Amino acid sequence: MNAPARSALGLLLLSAVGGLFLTLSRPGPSSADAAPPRFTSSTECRACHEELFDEWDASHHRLAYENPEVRRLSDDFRNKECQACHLPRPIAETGLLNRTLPRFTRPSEGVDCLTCHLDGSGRIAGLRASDQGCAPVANADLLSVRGCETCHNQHKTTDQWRASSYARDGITCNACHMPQVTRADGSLGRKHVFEGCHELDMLRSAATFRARREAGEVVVETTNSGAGHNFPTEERHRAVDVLVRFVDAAGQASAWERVWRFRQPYRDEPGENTQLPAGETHVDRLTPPPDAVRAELRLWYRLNPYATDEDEASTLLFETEVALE
Amino acid sequence: MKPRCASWAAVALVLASCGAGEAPTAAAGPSLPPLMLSSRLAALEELGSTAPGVPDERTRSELSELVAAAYSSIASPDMQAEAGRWLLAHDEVFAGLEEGLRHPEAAVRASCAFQLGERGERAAVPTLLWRVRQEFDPAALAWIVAALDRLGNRASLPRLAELLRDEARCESALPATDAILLRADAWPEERSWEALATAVEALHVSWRSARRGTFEREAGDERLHARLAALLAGLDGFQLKPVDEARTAFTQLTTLPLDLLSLGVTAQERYLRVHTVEIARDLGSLAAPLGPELLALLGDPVTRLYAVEALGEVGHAEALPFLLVFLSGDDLELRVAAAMALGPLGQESAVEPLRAIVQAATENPDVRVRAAFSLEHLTRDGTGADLLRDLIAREAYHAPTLRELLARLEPGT
Repeated sequence: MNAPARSALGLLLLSAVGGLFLTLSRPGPSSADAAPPRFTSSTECRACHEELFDEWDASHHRLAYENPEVRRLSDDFRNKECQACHLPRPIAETGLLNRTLPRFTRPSEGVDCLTCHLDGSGRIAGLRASDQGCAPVANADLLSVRGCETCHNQHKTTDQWRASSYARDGITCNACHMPQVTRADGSLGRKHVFEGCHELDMLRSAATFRARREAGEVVVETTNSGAGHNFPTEERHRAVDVLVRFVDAAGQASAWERVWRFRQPYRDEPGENTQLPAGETHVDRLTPPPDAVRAELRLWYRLNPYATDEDEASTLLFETEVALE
Repeated sequence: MKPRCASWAAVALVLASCGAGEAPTAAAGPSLPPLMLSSRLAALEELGSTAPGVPDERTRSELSELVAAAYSSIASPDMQAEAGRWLLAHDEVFAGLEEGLRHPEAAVRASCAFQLGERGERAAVPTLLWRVRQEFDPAALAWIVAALDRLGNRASLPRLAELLRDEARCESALPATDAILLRADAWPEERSWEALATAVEALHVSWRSARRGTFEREAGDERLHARLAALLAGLDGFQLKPVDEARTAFTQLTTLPLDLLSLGVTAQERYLRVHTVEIARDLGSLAAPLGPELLALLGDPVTRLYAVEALGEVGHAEALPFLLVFLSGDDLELRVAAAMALGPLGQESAVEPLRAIVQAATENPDVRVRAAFSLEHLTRDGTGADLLRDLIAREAYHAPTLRELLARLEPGT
């Protein structure tokens, strides 16, 4: 294309952009034949989707780039590669199953509305098409595991799901992490809190923890009874510990001792992956000291493997005891 | 000039450049070099195929036993001596020593690092650089740093200086520090931990200024070159671990293999291209010879954003007119990238457009904070830094980002 032709093209395109600007400056419903509005921030979604926005605003997706725990473990994002998933450009730009690339804008929005809802053509994608508001186009991929996979398979979570009975039964990520809800206006939608390891109820629903006395031993069973992926999933940060202490007749308790840790070592760390796959049970057999009258057992969830019991990054999931007398 | 009011030619350039494929040309002004992308993965894999590999399981097990017997503190001196001779005579000694860097016993890790250094195994440099980040034992860390020093790489000496300033751990670092300073004939006259730390830091500064990029392979470095090629090839996958490893290695090498990086930035493979551009950005002026190739990437919709940042950091002055166009364009991400790049680019004519953005309180905050950074970078008149500090005080923008920008302007704060 020669230079004058490019100038003419520039003028034409500038007119189009000008028209688009005028469209954007008049908020409200747009007709089907008008250019769809262009969105640059999740805050623009709030006007029409306040309930959804508030859910996302309180979620760990929103916090992805701000979470102090993440910032500490990523050396304040000096490990730049972490930014690809913690401050991502829209999934559609690189495509389902491909890793996202990092963006430079809106650090407080983390994994934002546009990450999932901006489609490849710059339009908003929703479960249903509409010519109202943001004029969404229907896109079934929004609920597909492949959408989550772009980031969540970085630590093999969706691979773990594929190997589980959940995948065979068609129970996808959304069944637990974006359950269906009825909105204030009576419409059906999906919850945008993305509940996971930061919510106690969700954590407790993932596992069962039982202990019993058997032939002089204390038998402790931890079962991944509710997660469609390993328990815990993700690497580096997460760990689940089985702890025990024994109490004698005088009420003196021994120190808490870790008898097992469920965890995938981070990158080059030595050790085996001991995460508990979906549906599987891990059994610990403990020999109590002769003077013990009771065994007390706890299952702790740790957001990072260095967290102590007193640390905010630790959550006590279950505790139980076994009489030994 | 009000930033959004770009000239017709500039707007035409921005809009034309948003199209895929064809390189944009301004109606009046410079044109971009043609975008010439080719598939590079196979070539890099071929180059990387001669990199030191992982031996079969039986050999690995044999090496593991030899390493433990040679260097573990629980082995008898006789056994250590015998096993040490066997190990060093083994065909796969390199693999054994590298694997030994992950041994549970710190003394074994330290000894393996020492041997890699003494044997001049420069192909181990990337692994040693990764281990510096992960090592927690002070003596082992110091010996890994010393091994790198022996191999001509002083990138990690600041970690040693940190150790020497740590009262609780400095003693453990002394033997390795001794080796480094004696070899460099740089023992300080004053006998204090602080003097040792300062001497070590001085060696690092001197090394940094002597680093260079080359398109030529150095004799004797074929295995290192092959390993680096394999590392670049690993950028094209899904996982980020190889990205982290490649970045760690490439940004800390003594002699940069610009021939390999050039393959990366012109690769058709998307992630290979993007991540190599990011490596170039992190290298800054050392990657200056890649400027023309980075400039061509402004015509590439996938990489453009990251190329803008990299062009600023490598200081490719020819990028200025294009960055000014992006700064006043419609694409917010590109505006932010351009605002961030113009400071490091170091061109005086960017001052007024940046100042206009900094002074416009209604300007997009993402663009404004980067413009403030670049304005301060160029003028050092306090205007940009004051805005960044004011935004922190008012909690009006993402504080970690503001602090990071200020830290770049005021190193050491």
